[in-house]
Amino acid sequence: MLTLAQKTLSSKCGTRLCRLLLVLSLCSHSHDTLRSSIDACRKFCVDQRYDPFEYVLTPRYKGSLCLLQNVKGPIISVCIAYVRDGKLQNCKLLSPDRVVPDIYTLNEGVGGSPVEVYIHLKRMEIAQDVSDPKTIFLENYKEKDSILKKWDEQLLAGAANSESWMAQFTPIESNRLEFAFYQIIHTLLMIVIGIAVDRLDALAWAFGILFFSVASCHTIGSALNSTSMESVPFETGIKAVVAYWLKAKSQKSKSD
Amino acid sequence: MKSLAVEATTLSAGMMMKLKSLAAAATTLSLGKMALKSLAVKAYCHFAISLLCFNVLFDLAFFGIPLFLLYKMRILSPTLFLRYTTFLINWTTPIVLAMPMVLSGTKLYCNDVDLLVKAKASESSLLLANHGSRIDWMVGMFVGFARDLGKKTCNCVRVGFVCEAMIQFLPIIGWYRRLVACDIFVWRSFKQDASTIQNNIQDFITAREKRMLFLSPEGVVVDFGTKDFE
Repeated sequence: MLTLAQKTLSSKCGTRLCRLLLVLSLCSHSHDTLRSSIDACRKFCVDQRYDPFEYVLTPRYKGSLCLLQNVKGPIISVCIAYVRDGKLQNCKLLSPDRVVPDIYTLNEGVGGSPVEVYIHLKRMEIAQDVSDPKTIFLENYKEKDSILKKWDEQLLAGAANSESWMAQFTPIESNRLEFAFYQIIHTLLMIVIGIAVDRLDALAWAFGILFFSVASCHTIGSALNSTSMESVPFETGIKAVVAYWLKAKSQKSKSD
Repeated sequence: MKSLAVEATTLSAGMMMKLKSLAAAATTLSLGKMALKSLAVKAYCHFAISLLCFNVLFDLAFFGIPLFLLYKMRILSPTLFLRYTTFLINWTTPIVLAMPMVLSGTKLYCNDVDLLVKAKASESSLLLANHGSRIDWMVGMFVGFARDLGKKTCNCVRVGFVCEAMIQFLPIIGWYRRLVACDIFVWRSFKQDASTIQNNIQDFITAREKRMLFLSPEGVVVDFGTKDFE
């Protein structure tokens, strides 16, 4: 469902800038767009004789077909459950408790409530010459929906830490020393290069400017959009400003 | 007696008032501490993300862009370009993940380590994930980089993503993913995207460069803000 401003952009999509603005606008999903996406997915499930999914949207199987036909190795289904403070973060799509973790959520772990990530893997048997993966994808997403539902139930019942439930998982360890070593070496390299070109002060300035930009962009974005959307730095600010601009444009064209 | 009782009542009332004011002060203090803590955590988050950007920007400017230019000028063959960028990615990945994934105490668990090892060992694999967060890419990179999977050990592998075209224009990480990581950026138009996908995968197969490809077929993250619920 395109807004009026998006339709205008779409009609002028010949130029690269318009195309970029259109993609930007489509990515800055407004409340109405998201709501209609969920409704459309639910309707699609019913049409295909499935119970509507509560935890996931339906997959875009047509767009994935090209990938399925070209990848030579194994195709694996991944269902990720994010847990924080004993609560499932990616719970029901329409639940007010749903939290979409971003880089800020991860970093906030230093404050005492780190995120736990549970990865469910399952090999998918898909023939290379598959022409219609709709059923395979829908079955797979039905399974993902039930995995997340089970997670939600386990956490609500307080049984997620039980031995029987946790026995299915193996921890993926990270070597803190190795990561710290890389960070130190990297910082040293930057300092050495800074000294070598006699621009150590420029490095310090660059970091200060970056810090200011990251902080202000996130703060403005969060204030405009009432949520943090930082999958990559600056995303919250950029998307929120675009969404705000589109909304203002739509309102203006309505009043005209 | 009466006056004594009145005095005692006045005293207890006074004490109650004092206790109440003390409790209020303690609440204010703890609230103040909490606000201070959340402020400190927020500042740390900004610092961690700025450092991430700074590190990636440095790698991009000093190694990534020169490599890309050499490749575009045909001084580097596609095979060599992909090989060198894999080295660069393996160098950058731990500094990208250090603060958000490791120092913040994020824990990862997997239900089928054998399958993961197989996927990492194969020349190309496709992982179809649900889109429940904005950090799926970090989880993917962490899994690709991890060498200690419980009782199993394996090599780290390059991880690529199929993502929306807009990401490549976002500063620093977006540019890095476009110029160095060679991710597949889709415009959501079948005609245009099919050839992009085919060419990208073919380049990696021809160069015999191992890669795990991540895709979230849902395409959208359902993320309502608090204003939306209001």
